[in-house]
Amino acid sequence: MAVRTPLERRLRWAVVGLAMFCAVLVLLIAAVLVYWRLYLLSPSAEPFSRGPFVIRLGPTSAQLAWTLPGDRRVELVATAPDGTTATAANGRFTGLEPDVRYLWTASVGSVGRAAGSFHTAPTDPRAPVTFAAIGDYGSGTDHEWAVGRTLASEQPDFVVTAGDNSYLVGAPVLLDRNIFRPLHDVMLEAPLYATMGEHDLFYSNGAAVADALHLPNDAGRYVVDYGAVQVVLLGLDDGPAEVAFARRVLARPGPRVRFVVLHRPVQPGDAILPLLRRYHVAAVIAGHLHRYERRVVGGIPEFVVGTGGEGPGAAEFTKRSPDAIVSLLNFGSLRVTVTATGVRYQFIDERGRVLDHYSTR
Amino acid sequence: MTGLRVTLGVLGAAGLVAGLLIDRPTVLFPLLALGIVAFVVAAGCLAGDLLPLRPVYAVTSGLALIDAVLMAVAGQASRPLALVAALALVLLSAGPRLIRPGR
Repeated sequence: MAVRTPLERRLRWAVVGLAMFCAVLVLLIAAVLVYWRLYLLSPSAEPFSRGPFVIRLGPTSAQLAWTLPGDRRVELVATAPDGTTATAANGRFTGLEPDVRYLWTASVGSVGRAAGSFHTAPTDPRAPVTFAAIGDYGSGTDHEWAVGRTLASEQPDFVVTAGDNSYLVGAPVLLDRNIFRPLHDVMLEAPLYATMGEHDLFYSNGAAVADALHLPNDAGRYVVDYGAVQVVLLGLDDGPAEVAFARRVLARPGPRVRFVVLHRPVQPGDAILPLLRRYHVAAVIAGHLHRYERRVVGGIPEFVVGTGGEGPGAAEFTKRSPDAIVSLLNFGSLRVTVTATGVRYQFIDERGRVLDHYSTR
Repeated sequence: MTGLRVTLGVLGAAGLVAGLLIDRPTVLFPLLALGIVAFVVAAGCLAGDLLPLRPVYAVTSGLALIDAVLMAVAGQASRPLALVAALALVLLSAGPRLIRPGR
């Protein structure tokens, strides 16, 4: 059928023009889709639901842990500054060099999905060691996140916590919000050695927190050795069982500089004090009181660092200790640096300011 | 639709010449541009051949529409494929005349 009339011809050209316009539209839509696919899409979702995070560090070994839904394989590679690499088996690196910062990468399905670094413990007792301490932090607040950021920027060799790792209770469903997300960055670099506070013990006697952080026991009573430093974590307080444990551990020959960490601060007259003096414990680190305090109790320096994020709460429960040399309501963490010549303590607030410093030889 | 069909042939010929004379990756952009224009022109050709329906013309226009897309992107994969696509566009634009001369 041929086109004959002028009206039919015009109609035909109109259809042709419309078709070409539609083609242009199709191309535009295709271009937008291609651009969106190539340059505007976010990376695919993180495969890990938790971690990976460093849980143990020794002179020649390191252990990482993670939670990965499904049955996918994780390849962990650690690289030393000289370029030598080590591959982990079941999250554990062995045969590492002491006192070296290794960069690690975790790959899932041949794609690097997480990376961090860790510093293996030195074997030289004169080598410096830096660790950080926080307590009463696990609340998921802006302040906890801020403290987590400053902790990560300090690059401590490890972090100790003085309990109350999760508010109001240490239930599994709360731990990502209260521990693993706010402290994600620092946990890529340093193991978190936690002891237990009341809030952790309310739920399953601390089992949930201990399992999640891969602690040796639910009470948070264990020992960490790292280079010249030994940290004796006691748990909730300095009751008879804790004192017996401390006596047993401190009586053994150990690293040069020792710290005791527990949740409730040691008070004048406590039964543990003669023990701490006898074994020349450098300092006690505690939490519970939501303040930063520097005290000397029975001749032993004591740092209260209940400043990790939960906040001071009601004034009657957050009173300054009468014997406190320094007492602050700021959020922050304690940075402890052990060198061949002494120990330096710095309280660093959530804004990165050093609000207190103290040194011993 | 002779004018559009001739344009389609010219675009195919230009793609063929570009594919022969210009190295990769420089040739990718002209092939992409020529392919995009050919796609729009082929859409017009197809519409014209459907109203009123001219089956042979419509089929070649439809194939030219697909071939234009191929010419636009084939250079990414291989140069011979792009040359084949450009040559096919020339043949498809001239095809109806070759099959049914005089129409």
